[in-house]
Amino acid sequence: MNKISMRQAIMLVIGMIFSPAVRLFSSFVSGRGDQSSWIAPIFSGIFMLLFMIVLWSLIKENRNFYQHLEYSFGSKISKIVTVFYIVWGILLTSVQMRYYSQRVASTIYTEIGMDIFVIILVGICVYSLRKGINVLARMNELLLPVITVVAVFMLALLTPDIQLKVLVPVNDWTSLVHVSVFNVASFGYLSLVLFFVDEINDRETFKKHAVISTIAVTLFSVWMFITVIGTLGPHIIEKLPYPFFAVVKQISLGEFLQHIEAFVITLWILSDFVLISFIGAATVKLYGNLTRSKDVREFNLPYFALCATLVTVMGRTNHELEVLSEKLFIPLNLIFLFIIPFIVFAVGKIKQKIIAKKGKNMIY
Amino acid sequence: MKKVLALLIIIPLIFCSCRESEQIDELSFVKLLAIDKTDQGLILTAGIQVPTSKKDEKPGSELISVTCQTLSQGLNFIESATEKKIFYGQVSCVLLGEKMAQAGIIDTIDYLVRSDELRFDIPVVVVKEKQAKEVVEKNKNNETHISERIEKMLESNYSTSTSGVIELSTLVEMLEDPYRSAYLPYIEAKEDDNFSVKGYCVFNKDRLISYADEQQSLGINFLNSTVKNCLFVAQIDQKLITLKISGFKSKISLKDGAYEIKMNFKSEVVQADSDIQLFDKNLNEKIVESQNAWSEKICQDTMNYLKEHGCDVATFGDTFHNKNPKEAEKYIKNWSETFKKITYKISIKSKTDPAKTSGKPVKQGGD
Amino acid sequence: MEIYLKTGEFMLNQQPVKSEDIVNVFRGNMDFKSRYLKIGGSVCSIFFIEGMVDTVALSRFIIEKLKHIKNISTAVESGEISFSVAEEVTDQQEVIQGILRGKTAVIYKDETFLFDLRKTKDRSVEQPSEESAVKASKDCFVEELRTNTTLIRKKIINKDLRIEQTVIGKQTNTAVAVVYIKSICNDRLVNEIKQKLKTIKNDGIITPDVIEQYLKSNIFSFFPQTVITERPDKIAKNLLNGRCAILVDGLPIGYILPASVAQLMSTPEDYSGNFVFASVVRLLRYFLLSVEVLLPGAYVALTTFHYEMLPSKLALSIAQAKMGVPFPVVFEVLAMLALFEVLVEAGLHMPQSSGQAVSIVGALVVGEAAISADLVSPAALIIVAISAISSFAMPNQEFSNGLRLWRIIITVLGAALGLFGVVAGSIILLAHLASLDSIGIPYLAPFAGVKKVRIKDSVIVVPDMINKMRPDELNVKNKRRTQ
Repeated sequence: MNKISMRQAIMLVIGMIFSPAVRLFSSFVSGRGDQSSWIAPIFSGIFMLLFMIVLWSLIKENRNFYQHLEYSFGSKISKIVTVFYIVWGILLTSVQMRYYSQRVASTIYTEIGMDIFVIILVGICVYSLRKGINVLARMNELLLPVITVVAVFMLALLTPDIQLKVLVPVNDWTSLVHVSVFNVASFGYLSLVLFFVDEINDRETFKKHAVISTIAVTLFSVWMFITVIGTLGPHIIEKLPYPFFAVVKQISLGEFLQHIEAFVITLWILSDFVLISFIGAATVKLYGNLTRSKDVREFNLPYFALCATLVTVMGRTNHELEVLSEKLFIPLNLIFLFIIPFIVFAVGKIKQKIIAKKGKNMIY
Repeated sequence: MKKVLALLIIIPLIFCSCRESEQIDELSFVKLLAIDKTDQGLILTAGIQVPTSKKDEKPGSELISVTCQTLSQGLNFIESATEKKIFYGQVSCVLLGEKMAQAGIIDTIDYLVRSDELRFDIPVVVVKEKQAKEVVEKNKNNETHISERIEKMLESNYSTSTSGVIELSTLVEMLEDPYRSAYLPYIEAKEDDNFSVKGYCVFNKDRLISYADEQQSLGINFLNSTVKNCLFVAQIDQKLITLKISGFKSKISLKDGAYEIKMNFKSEVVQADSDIQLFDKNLNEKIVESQNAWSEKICQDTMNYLKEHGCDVATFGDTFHNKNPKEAEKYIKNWSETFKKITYKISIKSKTDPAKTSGKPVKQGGD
Repeated sequence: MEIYLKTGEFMLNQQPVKSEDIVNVFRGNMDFKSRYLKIGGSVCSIFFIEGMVDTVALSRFIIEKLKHIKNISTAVESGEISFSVAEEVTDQQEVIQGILRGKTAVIYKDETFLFDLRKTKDRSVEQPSEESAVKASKDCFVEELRTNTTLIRKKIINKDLRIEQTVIGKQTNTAVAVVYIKSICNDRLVNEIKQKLKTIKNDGIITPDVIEQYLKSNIFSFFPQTVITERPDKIAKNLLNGRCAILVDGLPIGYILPASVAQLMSTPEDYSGNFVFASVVRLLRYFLLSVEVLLPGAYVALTTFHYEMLPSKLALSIAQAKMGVPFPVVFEVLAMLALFEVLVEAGLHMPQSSGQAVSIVGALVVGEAAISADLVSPAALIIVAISAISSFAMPNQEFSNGLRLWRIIITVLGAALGLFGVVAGSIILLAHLASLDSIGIPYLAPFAGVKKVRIKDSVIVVPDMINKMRPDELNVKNKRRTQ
């Protein structure tokens, strides 16, 4: 199986973050943080830079996440935790599929059912992952620059319409911190790199790539928040289901470049594809570790098919989806992407110290 | 075999959505929506551009007018009144009749904002003293579609800044703001069945209450810092100097319970009598004095007008809220009454640049 | 100087050489000639194939000299038989192969020698017909393997240039040469190519695609995984970069391995002139690549699902132009694409004398009559024409052919699902390209799948004095070009 580089792995994470970052902040971030929600990514970025210490400590050991779980918790508990991770992965993939299909079906294809988009996405994900994660990584090396260039271009076109007066003053710092927690839940996908440590070359470059990408993502998020809130105002934003989509509707460059929201949605799909494929690949890999299978590619189709069937039970309306995200998935993301890796790190460190001490005692 | 089966399943599914597609020549593009209110309900008029089969001809223009109870019902009736599918994604103007605007526009705007096809950057315009339908019908046969004419008139108004484009998104923001009163540009039908953009009309909450004249509309643009360019003719020493005002910025601040309206702009001489010495320092000072006085007068007249009607179209209330949110919340519910009592002072800083007019003036030979 | 090196691994079942056996093998062949001389009491047998051998040279340099010899090896060593290409063989199969290749076998007193007296009546080296360049060299490969290798030798005068030959095809026994520069090329690459060639166990190589099939990582892919060229200078340049080449006897082309998209998008002309202009042209090519693939699908999607994306005047203009056309937009576009393919095919096969007639009919039918008859709209025709012209701007026609097929798939997806379908098709195409490898090197190198993404010499052309390092993805031995 071909390995991927650390640069490719980090790029995959960045490619994944675009979609939830654009989607997540809108309703509950701007609703809770009001006009100063644009500061929230800064807090999230700082937290991620600190959390990188934990991730680096785990990555440099050259063990994938399952091996870390085994080392820290032992065989039985690690299996139980892994099962929980797999269930979380399935649910997360399903909810992301649901978000993606709902967005496409309610913005540009209002008369077509969601199911077609889900089925096509399953087909694309299975096809892309049939030769392993390296194909997805190669694709993302070309997709991410496209997404970035288009996103930057759109934000640049919208920047003149920003009304700075709607972004100030910053009133409530405590609610901002609270709001940044929602934001950090999407930044936290960086932890998924742990699942693929045994398939990554040049692990020692993790620090460099992760720091640069976190700073870049934070700055981009701040710019995006400022543009979206500054263009339409926080009161409108919190009412709209897809504020980024609504803001993009404003873009106009002469008479020939306007009404490009359909194009933007299709680009959003690229990010969703990377997000769903990578979460799927990570979960399937974990399943492979659990069952000690050498080749996990055959599990891709049943996995994505299962997730596709769960799409319909993820809520009936956009509002239900948002409540589900807020009440269930964001806390779960925080647990599985931050808390458990931190516990693994802490337990691992303690164990190492105990083993080192025992070793010393034996020598003496 | 598995791949073939998978393709056999997926391919028909992909084509399920074909039935939802329409060919572009089977569409009618609605360019304008005119909404009027009557005792029986609403009159909804759609100005449609229809492609003709003769390729050398310009697209045709069609009007469909329906009476309905609600907007969604009206749009439905319009769909059934034509053999082609109606497409609203190209609507470039929404006209509101006077009675419609006076009865309250929030329900209408709410529906328009929620629509899938309509966009947020559509200008909204009010028709003075007439039904929007009448204006649209009278201009039906004009070579340029009325929606385009209105758009272009609003844009070209930037040379005088006595009106401006208010998009749907801006209107929503104004209606949602608990302090601010909304204002929209209005058109007035002339005797020759033509029309012109006159200024702004102001709302109390979502109801039209008054039409501002040109000077007052210019003042509204002053207060909102939305002046692009305007002209001012100064009379100094019995000579006329025409000045173009640009770079206009205004800021409203609150200090010790009183508002201060700071205005900042620059002017350049575009026309002057040929015997005037434009580089004379005294003359420049007089010009600055004159333009300051003029802008202050406009601002005061506008403020008097707005205070009379209790319409805070600028950001007086927001400024108060940003300064002292808890205190401001006491006045949210009857801000329009509070606004009538505010005190303010106007401070203007301007400069003039005579250097733009260069070259020797044309003089009578022998002088 | 001997050009060919014997590759011992390809020798099969050594058998001693007997004249009777040779005669039996070729019995019944009208062009097989044998000549017997009695020299000093022993019989000297001479075997050759008429038409392949220069009989005048045979008489003058071999038969004339044989009259006075005691044995052939002494005569060759002493220079009595002064013919330059003389090779002693001990295996019967080698003798048979040599005779089949146009050499003359001389058997005398248990010694067998092969003399290369082949007639050089091959096609002379001409200008390239498919890959013309204004300023670059104007020689191209011919059918004769030796001539081809000579052309490369002339460009790379280097002792490390290796030309290793093998024989492929049970029936045709075609000579195939693997060419590389030993001090630069990665050994793993060379070994893998040789391994793949060993797996070819078919009848023989008559057409170019046979070798290519065995060298591909995915035979079902529409895209070429080797670069086929008729230009020796292109091969020489790629050898200097650390790639390998394969030359086949009987085919006037060479294969360059490994292949990548960046390579398929470059031409020798890029290095012939100003690098800034060449960079602009290359960037334009990449843009045209996306135009070729996506434009028809995007047009169908916009006019069927996403009308709001068209400026209102353009939308009305397209709608007006389409009035009266009875077919949906997708049918118009697909029909025009199909007609274009028919014209291309007709252009390939038609005799030159009727070429003009076909061009006129094509232009009239497609251009004038179809629009006047309201069978297609002008907008659809323009879109297809732009896409078609973009496909001809691609330097590598095989790559362009693959894109043309994908263009049709994406157009159909665009008609079915609008821009979503176009994006889905693009993702699948990208996934397909990302999954391809050429001898272990990613097909999307140097843009994806490599340690360091390289824009120099892939997207933009850089002058030689700046381009100091060889391509990283090839893992060459000697990374530095310049000292």
